Amino acid sequence: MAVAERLLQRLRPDGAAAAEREAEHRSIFVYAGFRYLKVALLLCALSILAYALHDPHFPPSGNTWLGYTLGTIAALLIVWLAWLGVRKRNFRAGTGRVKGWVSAHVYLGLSLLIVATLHTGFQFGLNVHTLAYTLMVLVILSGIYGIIAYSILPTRITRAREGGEFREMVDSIDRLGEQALKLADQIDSETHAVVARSVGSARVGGSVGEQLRGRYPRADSGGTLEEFLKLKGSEVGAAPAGPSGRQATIAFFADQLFDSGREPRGEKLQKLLQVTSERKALIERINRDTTLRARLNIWLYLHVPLTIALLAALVVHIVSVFLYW
Amino acid sequence: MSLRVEVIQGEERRSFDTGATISIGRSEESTVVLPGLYVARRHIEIAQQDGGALHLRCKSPLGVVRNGKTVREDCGLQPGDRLEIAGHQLLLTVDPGSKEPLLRITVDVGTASRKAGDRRLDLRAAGLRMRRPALIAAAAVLLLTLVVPLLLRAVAVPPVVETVLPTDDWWSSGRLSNAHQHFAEDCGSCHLQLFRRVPDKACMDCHEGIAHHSDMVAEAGLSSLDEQRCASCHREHGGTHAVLPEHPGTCVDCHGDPEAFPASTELRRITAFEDHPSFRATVTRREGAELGTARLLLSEAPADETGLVFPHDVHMDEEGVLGPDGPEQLACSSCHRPDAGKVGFRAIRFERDCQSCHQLDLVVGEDMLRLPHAEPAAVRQQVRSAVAALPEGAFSRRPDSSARRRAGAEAERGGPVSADALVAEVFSTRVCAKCHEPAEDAEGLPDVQPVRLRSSWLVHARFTHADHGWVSCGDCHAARDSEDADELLLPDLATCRSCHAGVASSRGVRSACIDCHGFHVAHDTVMGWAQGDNQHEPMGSTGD
Repeated sequence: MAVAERLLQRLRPDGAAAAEREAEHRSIFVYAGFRYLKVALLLCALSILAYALHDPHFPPSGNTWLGYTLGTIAALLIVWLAWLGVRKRNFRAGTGRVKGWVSAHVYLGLSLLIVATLHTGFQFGLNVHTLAYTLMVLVILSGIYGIIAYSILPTRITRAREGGEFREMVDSIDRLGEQALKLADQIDSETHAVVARSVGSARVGGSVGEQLRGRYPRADSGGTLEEFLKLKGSEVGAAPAGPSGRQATIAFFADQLFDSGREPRGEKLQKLLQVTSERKALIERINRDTTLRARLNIWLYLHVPLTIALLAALVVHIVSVFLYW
Repeated sequence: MSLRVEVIQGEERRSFDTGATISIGRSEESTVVLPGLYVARRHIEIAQQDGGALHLRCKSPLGVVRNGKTVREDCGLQPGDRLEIAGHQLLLTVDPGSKEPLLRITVDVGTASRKAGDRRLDLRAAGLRMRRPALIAAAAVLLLTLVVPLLLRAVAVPPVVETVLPTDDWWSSGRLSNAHQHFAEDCGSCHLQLFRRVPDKACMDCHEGIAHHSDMVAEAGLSSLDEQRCASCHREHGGTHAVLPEHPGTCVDCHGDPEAFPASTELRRITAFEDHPSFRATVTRREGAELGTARLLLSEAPADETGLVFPHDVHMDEEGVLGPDGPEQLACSSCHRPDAGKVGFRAIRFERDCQSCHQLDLVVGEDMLRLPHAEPAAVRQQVRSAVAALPEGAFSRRPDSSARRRAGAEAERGGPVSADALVAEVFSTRVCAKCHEPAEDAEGLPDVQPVRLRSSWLVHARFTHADHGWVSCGDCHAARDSEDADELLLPDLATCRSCHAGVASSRGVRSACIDCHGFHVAHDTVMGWAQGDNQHEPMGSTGD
């Protein structure tokens, strides 16, 4: 378990690491000439063939020689794949063998859907046996999400960062916030208060739900800062003309301020506006980045705990079969 | 009056008395200077009014957090109030020594970094965890589906507890068969011991004395039947009707290879309904007065020696027969009346099925004598008595009988001249002989063959007419053309196959072995225990 916790740090794609990770992700599908895809397909084909040809004296279930065989294969696969899941993250350093493990994990994990379903003989009920099956299906579904997420999202994360480092972006927020407060302080106490409240209340990041939905209600102060600065700008000497979109207003307003640059407060105000806008854009970018990474990694928070629950259910499934043989 | 202020800044602690008003802010001119860009130059003032009450004045729109709520308006302060300004804590309390108000200010030395601490930039920072949910889920699964059911199995608890807590129901692999539904409540009624297969004892507690498959112990050994358990064939938890094994393999694993059982000369090879050998009928055979049975192939049209004379074709003539009330058309159901369960038919009875047409009338002298359908000795006695009652010479000659004649009956004219001769005639050619085959009893006296009308000829099969009632009788039984009561009017396999097919077929009623044949048919052995000389180990003893 400690391993599962540690691995997450490594799963957070950071800049170039994301691109590298993505390339690695692509290569796991074609690893060794689709070796594990072939193994998985062969396993599925053999299972289906055996199931079709098998003519048990009793309705198909786990309680026939084929049922026991498929069940044993499925159980061993589950245990082995769970172990692989730990292994391949321990050795993320990126050797060829790691790719092989991931490749095997993906393809053989998917083949479990066939093997384990045939093992059930399509008999389901409200019992620990179907519980184990359901958990297995949920683990596989979350894994499928992971495959899809890992083939789409790293590219988007990399593209959105435009070569920037995430940690630098986060540090910039503090820098820009401090800069804005210092500028505001130099203007007057009212400006300082408004900027401090706005900068202080604007939060980057959010709860699990906010991260996944991509909506961060506390990301900005709802335009009050811009309103205030606009008002302040008019006091200083320049008034924006006519109503328009917020961004346009800010741009227009900035120009106006630039013209009235002879006024030292106006100059500061213009600089302050630049800094707060930049900070706001940066927060939005970080939040978008956070959302993409949350969507990239959320499956793992299901996949790993469900796998552990599955292993427990699998133990009970096997034990209970022999308890009441 | 003055307000005492205590400032705690890291390790440093200092306190001083102030005037009636203290100012707090970032400005160096403030009474108490708080660092950090989120603090206004003049943030708040706390003033002591004439009555001694403390008053908070907000000097900056940033406001202050008072007891968890942000306030931006001036307001009164009470001892015990907590204020917060950009991370700095202000507690208004009472100096224990002077009983004067004391403002204790804890300066947050890490203010700049405090804001950054609230950043949740990934799922983990937002509180999502793997280890704890995993452990909780795994523990819940183990507890609810294994530990608690095991405990409930070991410890007797009130029924209400079992309805709330998870029981060993969780281990059930499927529905029980309909017949055993009432055991679903209590797994332990069959699963007597953990890690042990269900022993036959669990079945035999109810199914006491159920017969074995064969009396031939050698065969049981050869076929490994003596190692089988009830549950080897009767699988539970497979659905509502799963307990009856329908797969032909259950039977043909042995019956498809009769050579493996040399002692069983009767066994014939069968691998499916499609290659079912010709039916073998059990028929009555007579050696003089001795009755015996024989098992003969139905395909060879064996005679079933009933002891009766009964031409079906005459009775079922399309023209009809002469009944008591004139001509009438007989149907199968005129004589063959279904038994209560409609499985077979009630036995044919003379009084019910024959007598209305066939009166046992005999003209003796001038009189009509009605003979009883009784023991031959009684009939003989009655004929003799009637003859003896006649006046002397009256018996020598007899006028034409006016008795009704049945179709095909011989004209009864002329006649015997002695009582014995008349008795012999009644038994051998006239009244009795119309329906019975004549015979002599042990003393040489006239008699009839004993009648044996079987209720079933296919004794190793089950057949019910109830399920076949929609088929007309003639579709299976060619009675209309049968001249002889000894003819077996049973349908052959081809007739069955016109509707029935093997379990793998899609072209007929899928019929498994057990649809017609029973398994538990042995007479001397009872499941698990050999009777008489056939001592062997109880079945399934290895699994107990």
